[in-house]
Amino acid sequence: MSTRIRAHWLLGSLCLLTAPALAVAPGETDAAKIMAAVQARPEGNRTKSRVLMMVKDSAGRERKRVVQSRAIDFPEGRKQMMLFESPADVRNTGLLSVDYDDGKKDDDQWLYLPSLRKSTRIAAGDKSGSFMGTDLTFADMTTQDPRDYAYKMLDANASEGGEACWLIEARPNNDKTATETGYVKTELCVSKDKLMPLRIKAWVKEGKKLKFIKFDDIQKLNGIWVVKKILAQTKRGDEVESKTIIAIQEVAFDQPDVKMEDFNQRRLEQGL
Amino acid sequence: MNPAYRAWGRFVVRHRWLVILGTLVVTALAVMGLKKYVRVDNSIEAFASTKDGDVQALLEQFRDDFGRDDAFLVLIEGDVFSLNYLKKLDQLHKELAGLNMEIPSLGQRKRDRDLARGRTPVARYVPPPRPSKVEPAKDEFADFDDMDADMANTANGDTEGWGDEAGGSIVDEVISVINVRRTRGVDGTLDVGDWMDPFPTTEAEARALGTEMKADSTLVGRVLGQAGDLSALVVRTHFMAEEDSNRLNTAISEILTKYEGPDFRTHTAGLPALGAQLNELMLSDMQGLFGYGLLLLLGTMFFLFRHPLGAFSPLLVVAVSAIWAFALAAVLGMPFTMMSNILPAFFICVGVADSVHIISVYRQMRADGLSNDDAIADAIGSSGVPVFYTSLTTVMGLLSFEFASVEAIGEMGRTGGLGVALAWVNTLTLLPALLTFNKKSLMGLKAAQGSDRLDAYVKHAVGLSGAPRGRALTLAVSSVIAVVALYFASTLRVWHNPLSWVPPEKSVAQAVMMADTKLGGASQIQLLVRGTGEYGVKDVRLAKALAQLDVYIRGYVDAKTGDKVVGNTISLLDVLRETNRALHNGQHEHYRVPDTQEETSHLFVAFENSDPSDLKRLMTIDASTAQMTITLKWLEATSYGPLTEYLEAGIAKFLPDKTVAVIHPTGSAYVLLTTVSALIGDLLSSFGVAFVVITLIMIVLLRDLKLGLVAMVPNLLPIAMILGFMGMANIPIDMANLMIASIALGIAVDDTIHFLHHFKVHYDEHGSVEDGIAYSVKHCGRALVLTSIILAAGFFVYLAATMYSLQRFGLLIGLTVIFALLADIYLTPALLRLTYKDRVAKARS
Repeated sequence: MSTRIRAHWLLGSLCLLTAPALAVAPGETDAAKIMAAVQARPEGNRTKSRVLMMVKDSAGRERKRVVQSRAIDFPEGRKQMMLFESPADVRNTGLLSVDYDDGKKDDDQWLYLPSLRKSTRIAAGDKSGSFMGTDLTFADMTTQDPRDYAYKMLDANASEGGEACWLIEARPNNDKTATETGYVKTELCVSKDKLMPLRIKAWVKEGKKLKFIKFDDIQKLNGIWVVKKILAQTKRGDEVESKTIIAIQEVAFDQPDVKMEDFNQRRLEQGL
Repeated sequence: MNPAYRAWGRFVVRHRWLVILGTLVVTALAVMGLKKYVRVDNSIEAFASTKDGDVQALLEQFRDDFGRDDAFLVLIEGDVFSLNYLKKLDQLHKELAGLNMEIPSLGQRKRDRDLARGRTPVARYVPPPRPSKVEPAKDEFADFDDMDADMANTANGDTEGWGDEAGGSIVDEVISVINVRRTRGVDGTLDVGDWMDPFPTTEAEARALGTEMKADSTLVGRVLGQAGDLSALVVRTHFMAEEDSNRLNTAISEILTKYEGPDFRTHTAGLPALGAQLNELMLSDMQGLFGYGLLLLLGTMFFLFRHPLGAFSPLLVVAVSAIWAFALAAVLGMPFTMMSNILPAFFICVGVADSVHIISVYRQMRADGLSNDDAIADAIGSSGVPVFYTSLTTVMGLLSFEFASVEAIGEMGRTGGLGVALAWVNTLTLLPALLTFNKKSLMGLKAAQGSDRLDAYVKHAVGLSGAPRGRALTLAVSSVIAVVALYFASTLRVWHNPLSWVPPEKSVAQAVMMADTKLGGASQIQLLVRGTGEYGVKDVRLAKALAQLDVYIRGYVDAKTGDKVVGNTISLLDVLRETNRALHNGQHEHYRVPDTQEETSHLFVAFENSDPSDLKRLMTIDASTAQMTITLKWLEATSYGPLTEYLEAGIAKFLPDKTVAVIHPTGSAYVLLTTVSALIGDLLSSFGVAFVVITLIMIVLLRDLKLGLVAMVPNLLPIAMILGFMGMANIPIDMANLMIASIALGIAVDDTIHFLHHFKVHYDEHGSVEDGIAYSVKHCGRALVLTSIILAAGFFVYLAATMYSLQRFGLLIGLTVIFALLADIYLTPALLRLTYKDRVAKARS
């Protein structure tokens, strides 16, 4: 399960937020239909990217990590390999993830630690848990099944930074989804033009927190809208507990050197 | 007779309606102010020392980094690894984890409260510098400024708080055997998950799991009892004010009641629960006993003065003054704390005593045939000066608490000082105005009253030192009492243990004892570990030193009891060792800190990738700071001194290199309890200052150096006696009674001032020592005994309290009142006869 999430995450800005032209008119008011269109978009393939992750806590302490990633689709889902570039003491530590489309099938993940000189399989974790200490959870990265939510149109004529959007409320309609995501509900501001969320506000059940996610620096690459920066912050009352920036520093699709035979444990142990 | 006070008395009599109306208006304003501004701060931190800024700053730093350092601890007795128990525990765990209630102060910390009150919060802890290879970059997080601005402008409004949304939990985390972490390596797979995932479905599975869990040293003493007949739920919430924490404790108790059964016996411990239950007990005692005490006072005064005005007026003076004082304190931003609880006692001491003195003189004047108005004016004229000085000395005594390093005590002193000053105002305004409504009553005194038993007793006591032999006997007995008292006072010990205030059969005491005997304990100390090297707290040298320190800490033996007190420790070490073992296929020999820096860094990556949420409670995101939580048995406060020394010796021994890390002990319990010893020193200096200032005031009042110094002897003897009594009765000095010496001084001084003032007035006029003493006895002897009876009775009511601390407080104050009276009617006349000789009367000025 967790592998699939991670695979989606690293390509988050690519696969989650790409926005092909789907048949939803700007005047559409059926929230479920809009969300189905948002979720059902195709994903880019043979991707190479370099991602910077920064987290800042309430005391102002910061942590930065840079990872290099490659991803490729296969008939049952998606494979991804990522390697820590910095900080120096974890350089060359690598992760191989296999994300199955079939939600019933557990995803696979292997971790390569150079000091052990072998890769170790990692068991699936908790979806509502923080992803590598960031403000995003594993569940934030995964593609959600629209059938697990009750959608409500809050405002069909909202705007976000001058951009027309729908303001939609999504509330889990079953305990499993509520537990997995950890959210009581979310509000999404979905761009009518790009058909992608521009902003998300989530009510986190544990600790009665609020999470705000903003998708920034959206650019069109090879005809695909790509979010280059994700800002996320978790608040409790007036206090900001932590902030996360995920910046896609480099990204390229359809790379010929991203080959299926490279996504295995042996290659993981050799590095990218 | 002081002409100015007499004139004031006449003024009040003439304008009684103005005075009463003015009092009513001010009281109404005060009640409104009180409602608007009153704030209760019963938090434990309110009693932490503010003098040692570093200690406070470290605690705040810990909270910045790791959240709340204390937690509710729910203990459940039963057959832990029976399926039935586990199912119930699972349900209870879920219900507690989902606990939701309106908490107005959620997230509020002492620092927030300090800021709200316009106080400067403690300075932030400045950690030692840490080398960094990364150049400071531009502030990438500046982007959030736009985001915050956008959020404020969003069309859908509410960006702060949950609004009307229901369903969230106020609980940060609940840890029990249900969800406690298990890191294992099975068939080459690293699995970081819950022990009970999947949940056992058969009795055999549950038992098998139990066998494994009981063998895990990280669980036993933390969430699992040593004998497997008890498990614990650790319920950690966000910060909140103490009153909300008390409500939460009630909500938890209500939930536990639903699950309670012979095979599932629940108890609550942990610092927040202990605080809540102590508060609850104290409040219930105070409410009941304060009411009874007041009734008793009223009854006694009614019996003595035989008129509603005589009974109610002094209490009205006290009540109005208390309302004014608390309102003024609230407006000035001073909160109501646990310490404020003793203020009504102060106000009653001063207000009632002064009023009783004035009424006693007043009724004597009435009995002597004066008109009501003249009697009032003469009573004010006669007692105005001593009443002023008794009030002034008490105010000075209270203000001396400014020297205490605990803010709550300083604030109590200021509020108390205000109250006493206002009680003085009301004694000279409201009381005479009320007395004007008396038509004919002599307030219990007969017009041609001869000596009754009380007068006979006072005369006998005062006259005992009239003859040289009696004088020598009085002085000798007083000296012997002083020596014996001082001897026992020297055996007094400082021993602060709030649990000893509670009868052992109370649930909170039992829960803490149970945590001590069956779990690792209910108390915690935290070590704040700041990594100063390149790898921060991920430094392998630090990990190795911590491993040695861990063993050393677990070996600590309390010198007083000879017991091992540390039940468990939780730190990054657990993560490192568990992950190392798991990555080596569960081989136990790898349950250790790895050998190299590279391995250590990689183990952290492996764990972070599997379950980063657990790391949040153990180290900061930048790996600069970590913490170790040490669970230990309940210790009384002074035992923390040796423990701290032991910890610091261990830190110096195993981590001498400050370029690797610096480690400091911290935590609420630690900070609070280490304050106590310092506080004793503070209060001694407060007492010293009060003593010197009061001596000077006595000299000024009496306009006589010799008499001023003589006066301090009967002031000090009751204090020596009460401290000696405490030593003899093995009552230790603790937070509940450490102000006893100052209160004793206040009470003793009041009696002495009244006695000596009247003596001085007469002696200056007539030059006769015996006549001066007789005059003083006539004017205040009876009142001294009456006030002492009233006050002692009022305080002895506290002997019926549930809490031992209140029983002791009532007993000690009551005894002080009696000791002070005895000193003034036996010793003071003896000293006067010894130090003064008859002389020619000087002309009346």
